[in-house]
Amino acid sequence: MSQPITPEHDEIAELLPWYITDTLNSPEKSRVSRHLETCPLCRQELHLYRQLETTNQVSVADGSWKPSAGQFAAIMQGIDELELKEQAKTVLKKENQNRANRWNWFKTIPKPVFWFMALETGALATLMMVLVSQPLPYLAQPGFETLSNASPAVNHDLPRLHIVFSHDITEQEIRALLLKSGAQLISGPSTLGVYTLQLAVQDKNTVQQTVTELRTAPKIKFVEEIQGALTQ
Amino acid sequence: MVRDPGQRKDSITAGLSNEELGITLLQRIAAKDKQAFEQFYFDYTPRIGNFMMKILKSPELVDEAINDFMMVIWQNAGHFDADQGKLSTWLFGIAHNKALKVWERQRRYNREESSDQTVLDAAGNDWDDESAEETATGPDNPERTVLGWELGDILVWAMARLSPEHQVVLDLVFNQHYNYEEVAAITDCPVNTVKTRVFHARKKLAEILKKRGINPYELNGGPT
Repeated sequence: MSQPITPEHDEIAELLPWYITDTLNSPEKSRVSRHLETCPLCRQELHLYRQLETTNQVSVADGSWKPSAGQFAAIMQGIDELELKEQAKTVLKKENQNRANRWNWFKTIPKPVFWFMALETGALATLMMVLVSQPLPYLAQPGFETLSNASPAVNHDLPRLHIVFSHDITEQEIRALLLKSGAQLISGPSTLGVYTLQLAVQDKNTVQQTVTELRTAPKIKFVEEIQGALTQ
Repeated sequence: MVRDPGQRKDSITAGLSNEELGITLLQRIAAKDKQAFEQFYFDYTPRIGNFMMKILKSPELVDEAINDFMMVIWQNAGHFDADQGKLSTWLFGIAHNKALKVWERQRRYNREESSDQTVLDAAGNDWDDESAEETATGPDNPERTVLGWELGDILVWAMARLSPEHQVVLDLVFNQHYNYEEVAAITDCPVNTVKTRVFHARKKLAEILKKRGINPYELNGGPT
């Protein structure tokens, strides 16, 4: 017990745990064995370590934790969520990379070309804005012509006539008749070839005179004032 | 039922050692094989989880640490290099690291929750408090005196009074049978620190027993 504590003793004492578990290399094992023969202190320590080894193998914690299918499912769910986040990050990173690549490409363009492209883009943008803000003149005009006036087609206060033209009447002849009588076509032809004319005057005599004149025209087969038109 | 590592061998892995089986499993996990990952979970976490219990003392906290551990395995399975050491050393190193992180997190939480400044471990035990050692009673029956305990009970009780760091090294040496270099790799410490830590764990244990009137060197009849 009163054996002096040497540096070798301390060194050997530190190796005792692994001497018990037989995990020392061969020279170390021999050194410890030789020292134990002469050192009662180390034999005491060795005894305590042996008790520890036995106790550790039946320690309270052993077997007190077990894996479960529920926990594994939760782990997998966590992993799936993590992977989704990582995928989203990768996509974002790729987009940023592409954006950076595009910008880098711009940087490689010689300065004069870059400025020419910038000016060209600016001019195009300005032109587009002008076009959008001001409608083109041809869009404001009607794209067709009729034998009627462009002014309001129907006026319920004006007298109307039913008229049937002969089949050989020409467009010029109809136009001449309408101009002469101050009338305009407002509808027709019906299935029987009847057109409706609207006169520009309300005076009854003038209307009667116009009807008479139209009846005498050679290429008009039928003219009749629509009774009650004024009341519609 | 908990399977032992290597118990479930298929035609591809038949004839391989546990180490080779584990490495094959890890390679499949690195290729994102979820079936291999599941097999790894059921084969390896019982041992890892019980090791973590030494530090955390609570199955709920071990669940948390196992979650972190498995996440690291899924993400870093491809990083294992067999030339650098044994698979189990690598796994225990990760487990040790994750368990200590959970332990630290829980201790911070306990400190914030508790108004007094007692040093508590993750499970709420005041392992480092001298007065607690004096008044502590046995884990199974508070009425039992120390002298009436079975040998195993005394040592189990005394070991539970050690700090997690001391308990971990004792477990790695005496239960997992790692050599000092492997323990150093697992705990990320120099070899000399490991040797000193085991020595101090033994010394602390002897002190705890002496305070209970037990001569640690006379346990089970003393040295022969």
